Amino acid sequence: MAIVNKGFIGKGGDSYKRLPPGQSEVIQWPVLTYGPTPHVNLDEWTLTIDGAVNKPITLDWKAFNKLPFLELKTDIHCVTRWSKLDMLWEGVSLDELIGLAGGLTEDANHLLVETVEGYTTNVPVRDILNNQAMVATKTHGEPLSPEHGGPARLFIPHLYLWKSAKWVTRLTFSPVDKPGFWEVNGYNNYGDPWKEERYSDY
Amino acid sequence: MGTIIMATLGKKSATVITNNTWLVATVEKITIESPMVKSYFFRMPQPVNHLAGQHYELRLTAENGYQAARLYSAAVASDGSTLLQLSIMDVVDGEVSPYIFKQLKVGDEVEIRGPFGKYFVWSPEETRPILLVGGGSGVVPMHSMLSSHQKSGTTTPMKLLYSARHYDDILFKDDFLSSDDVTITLTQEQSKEWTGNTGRINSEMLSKVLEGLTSPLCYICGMSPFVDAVSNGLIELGIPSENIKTERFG
Repeated sequence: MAIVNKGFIGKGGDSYKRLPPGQSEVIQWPVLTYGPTPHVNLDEWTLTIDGAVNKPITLDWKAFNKLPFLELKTDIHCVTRWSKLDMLWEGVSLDELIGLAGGLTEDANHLLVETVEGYTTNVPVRDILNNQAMVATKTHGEPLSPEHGGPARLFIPHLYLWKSAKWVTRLTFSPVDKPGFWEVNGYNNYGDPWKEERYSDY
Repeated sequence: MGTIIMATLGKKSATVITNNTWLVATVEKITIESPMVKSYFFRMPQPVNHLAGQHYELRLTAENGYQAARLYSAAVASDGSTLLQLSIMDVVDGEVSPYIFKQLKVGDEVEIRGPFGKYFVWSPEETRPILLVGGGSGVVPMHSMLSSHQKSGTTTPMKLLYSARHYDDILFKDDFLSSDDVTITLTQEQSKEWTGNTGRINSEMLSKVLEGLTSPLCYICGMSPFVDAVSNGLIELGIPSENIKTERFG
């Protein structure tokens, strides 16, 4: 594209070379939920892993917190064009949760995610195995606040952040894909920040 | 994801333009809405067509090739013309808006694509009464919804409760100050000449504006703390959370 906006420098510097295309670094952590923030009582919190698994299971908060925690130091990327660098996330890896549910059945191709307030999203199974994803409860050693998805949110840092569903309560494995909330409301079905898979065509 | 799809028509290949295609837009007019917000009227290469509440991406390119883009809500309903109005706030420490605010002038070109977002939208097929609650520049998509609502001629009520800081900060004064469907509260206005509501949006203001709206669908747009305060207020007044749509920034 031939357009040049004379005098525009931007804040790129060198940091943008580390960022996916079209992203800008933020220091604050923005909140961009599509609805009211739910406040989840820990006594009532559950996480269910079901669908194409051998032994569907529901964990309460106490049982969940006895599991081994994984730590990921990573950058996060929001489709609204901000990225936050070098975050420290803690949670239980999806490999661990799948193990507790007796492992995946052969036809488990997609993960369909549900949250307490009805938000949904979808992600291919190959994107959540091998410590690529967790159900996170802490950042930088502090519990996730409700507006950032606390007490627990899904975390898949290599995809745009709408895939990392806040207030996650159910992980259902499925042979078939099912586009979730933003995926049917104009956003890309996969959401790779490095390929700028932001919006669907229509 | 390919933003440009090449399709073959006979022996020629034609470029199919989608909402993901960057288009060159020319600034045709700039109006000052408030000390922090200006409206930019862009002449697009093709007719503008969006739902009320949808937004567009505006992209700037530096001489070294660096690009930055931001999302801005369309400020009025589309009417089939090629003119697109975006009302843009000068964000302190921002990357894109300071350039737009201070340097972009009539005749300049930028890249724009869209529309995007199918959730925080209103269309005339929606039959529920509507309450819009906007804080600061969060009122921009609501201006689009009100103009679309007016144009459609529907008799379903749509009301706006709008929180701004000072009188000078009120956007779209020509439309809002004279409308019976718009209630404004000013959180920091000291002048005695202002006879309307003052202070942050509270339960009383929400109850008042909800009068006559049976089982409304509510839209809230603004900074995240504003959105949470208003949605908690509405939930306390008995509005189910599934009837509250929010759009947040900051």
